[in-house]
Amino acid sequence: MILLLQLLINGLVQGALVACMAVAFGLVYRSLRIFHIALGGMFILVGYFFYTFVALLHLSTPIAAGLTLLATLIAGAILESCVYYPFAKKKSTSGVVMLASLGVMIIIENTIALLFGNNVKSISVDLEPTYIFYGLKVTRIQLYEFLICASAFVILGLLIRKNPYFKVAWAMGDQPRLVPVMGLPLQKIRQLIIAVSSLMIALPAALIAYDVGIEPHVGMSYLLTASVAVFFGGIDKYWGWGLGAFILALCQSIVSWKFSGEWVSMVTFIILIFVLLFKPSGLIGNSKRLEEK
Amino acid sequence: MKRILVGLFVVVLIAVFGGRMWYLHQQAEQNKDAIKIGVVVPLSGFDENLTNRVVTTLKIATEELTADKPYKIQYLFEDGRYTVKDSISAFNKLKTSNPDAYIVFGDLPAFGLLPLINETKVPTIALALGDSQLPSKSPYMFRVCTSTTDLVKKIADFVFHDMKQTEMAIFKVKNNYGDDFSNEFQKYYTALGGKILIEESYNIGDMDVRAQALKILDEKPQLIGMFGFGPGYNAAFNQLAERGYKGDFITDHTVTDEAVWKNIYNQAEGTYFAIGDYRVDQMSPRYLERYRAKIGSDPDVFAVLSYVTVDVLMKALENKTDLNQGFYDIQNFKTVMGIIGYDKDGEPHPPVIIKQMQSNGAAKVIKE
Repeated sequence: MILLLQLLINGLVQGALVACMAVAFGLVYRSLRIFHIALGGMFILVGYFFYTFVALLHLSTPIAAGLTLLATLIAGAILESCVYYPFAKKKSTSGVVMLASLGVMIIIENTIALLFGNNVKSISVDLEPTYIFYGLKVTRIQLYEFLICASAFVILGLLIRKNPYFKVAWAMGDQPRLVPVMGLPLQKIRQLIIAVSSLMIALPAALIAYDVGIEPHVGMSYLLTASVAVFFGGIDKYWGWGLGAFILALCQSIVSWKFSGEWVSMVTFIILIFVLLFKPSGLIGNSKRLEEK
Repeated sequence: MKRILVGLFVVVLIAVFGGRMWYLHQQAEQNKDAIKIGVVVPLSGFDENLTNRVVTTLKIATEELTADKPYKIQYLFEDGRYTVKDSISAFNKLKTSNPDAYIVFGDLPAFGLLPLINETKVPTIALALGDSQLPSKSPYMFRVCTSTTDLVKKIADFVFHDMKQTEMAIFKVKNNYGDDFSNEFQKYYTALGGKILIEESYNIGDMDVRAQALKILDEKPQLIGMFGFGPGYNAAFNQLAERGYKGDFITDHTVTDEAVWKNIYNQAEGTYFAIGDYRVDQMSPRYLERYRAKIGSDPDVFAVLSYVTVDVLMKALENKTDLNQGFYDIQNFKTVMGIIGYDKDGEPHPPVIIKQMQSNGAAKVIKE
C-alpha cells in the first residue's frame, strides 16, 4: 500500500509538471492555432540555459534561474518574430506552420547536440535532501516541482479568467480575425501568448533539468505528454488541461505499480488514441451541436 | 573588371578542383597495395567522446604497431550512428571498396549486419560486442572483448560465493544488451542457488526511473545488479540512493566511464563489476604518449579494445592466404587484455577479473 501511495505522490508531482507544460502547449495551440512542436526545442533550450548558468558559469541557483527565465523569454520572442509571425502575415496554412515549428525543434536539438554533445548534463551534483511524511518520501526538488508548477498553473488560470489582456488572448482562439477589427494590438497579444508559453515551459524544464539532468533529445517526449494532456482535458478548457495532466500522470504511476515503469510512455499513446477516437472534445470539453457535427 | 573577376573565380575553382582530384589520386596510388579495413562506428548521434577514443586508437595504434611491417593498413570509416539502418547503409557503402576485413562497433550494429557479413564472407571484428551468442551465428565474426557469458559467470560466482548474497534485485536497460546480460546472469546465479527478488527495467533514454526504483526497494534487497548504460543507468544509481538504498551494487564496465562517473556522484562507490584484465601499462609507450597528448587521459576500456583489435588484425594477417582462417589460427596470443585464443565460435575468452569502484572513480582489483 505504501508503494502505491508513494507512486501516487510521484504521480502528483509529475502531474504538476505536465500541467505547466500542457499550458505552454495549449495556449499557443488554442489561441494562435499553431501545433507548437518547437516547444520541445524550447524545453531543451531551457535545460541548457540553466546548465550553462549553474554548471559552466557557476552562478548561484536563484540568479541562474532568473537568467534562464529571461533567456527563454528572449528565445520565445525570437521564435515568434522570425518564424510564427511571418507565416501568420502570409496567411500560411496550419500545416506549413507546423512543419516550420518542427524544423525549429530539429535545429535547436541538433545545435545543442553539436555544442554540448549527446551525453546527459547534470546540474545538481549532490543528492537532494529527502523529507518523510508518514513513511512517504519526497525529495526537496520534488516539493519545489509540485509547489512551483501547481501555483503557476493556478495563478495563470485565474489571470486568464480575470485579466483583460489574458481574456483577449484566450478569446483570440475563438475569433482571431476580430482582434484587429476591434482595434486590439494583434502582434502584442501574440507576443504575450508566446511569452507566457515560454515561461510556463521554462518552469518545469528548469526544475526537471535540475532534478534529473538534461540531454538534447528529451524534448519530443515531453512535448507529446503535454499535447496529450491538452487533448485529453479538452482543448477549450484551461482547467481541463490540468485535469488531463494529473490523470495522465496518475495513470502512468498505476501502470508503473502494476506492470513496469518502462511501459509508462505506452499509456500516453493509448490515452491519445482513445481521446482522438471516442472523445475528441476532451474529458470536460464542450460537446458539439448536432449541426456542427 | 567584372569579366576579370569571373575569370579569376573560374581559374581558382578549377585549381581547387584539380588539386583535390590530384590529391585523391595520389592517396589512391599510395594506398593501392594497402590492406583495406571497413570500419562501421557511430561517428555521430552517439557518445562522441567514446567514438573519438576508438577512432584515435585505431589510427595511432596502427601507425605505431605496423611501423616495421611490410604492409600498410588503410581504414575506411563510415558512420553507423549506432542504429541498424545507418550501419547497414554504411556497410553497403564500404562494400563497394572491397575491404579485406570489417570492424563493427557495438551490439546493435553487429546484430543488424549479421546477414550482410554472412553474405559477403569477409572476416569482421566485433569490437565491444557484449552479446553472449552473436559471434557463434557467423563463421566470419570475431569478438574483441569479454563476452557477456564470461563476465556473468565470474560475477555470479563472486556474488554467491564471495559476497555470500543469495537474494538480489536486477535493474537493467530494456534493450538487447540489458536483456542478454540479465538473462545470462540469472541463468548462472540461480543455478548456483541464488534467487532474484525482482527484475525492473527502464528505456535507454529515461531520466526518471523513480517508479522502478521504488518497486525494487519495496522488496528490500541487499544487492542490486545494474546492467545497462545511457541516461537511465545514471538515474538508477542516483534515484536509488535518493530513496535511501544503502546496500551493495554489482554492475558492468559502464560504471568506469568518466562521463558516467561524473553523473552518479559517487553513488556507485564500492560497486563490484567483472571486466577483462586490461593492462594499459603493457601498451606501446609511443602509442600511450600520442594517445594521452590527443585525448588528455589514459586509455579507457574502449581504447584498450581498439588497441587489441589492431593487435589481433595484425596477427591474423600473418596467414597470407586466408585472413578468416588467420583469426582462427590465433591461439595463446598475448595481448594487453591477457592471453586469448579464438574458438570455433569466434570467442577469444580473455581472462576476467573482479574490480571494485573507489571514491576517486578508479577501480581496484578484488579478485583475479
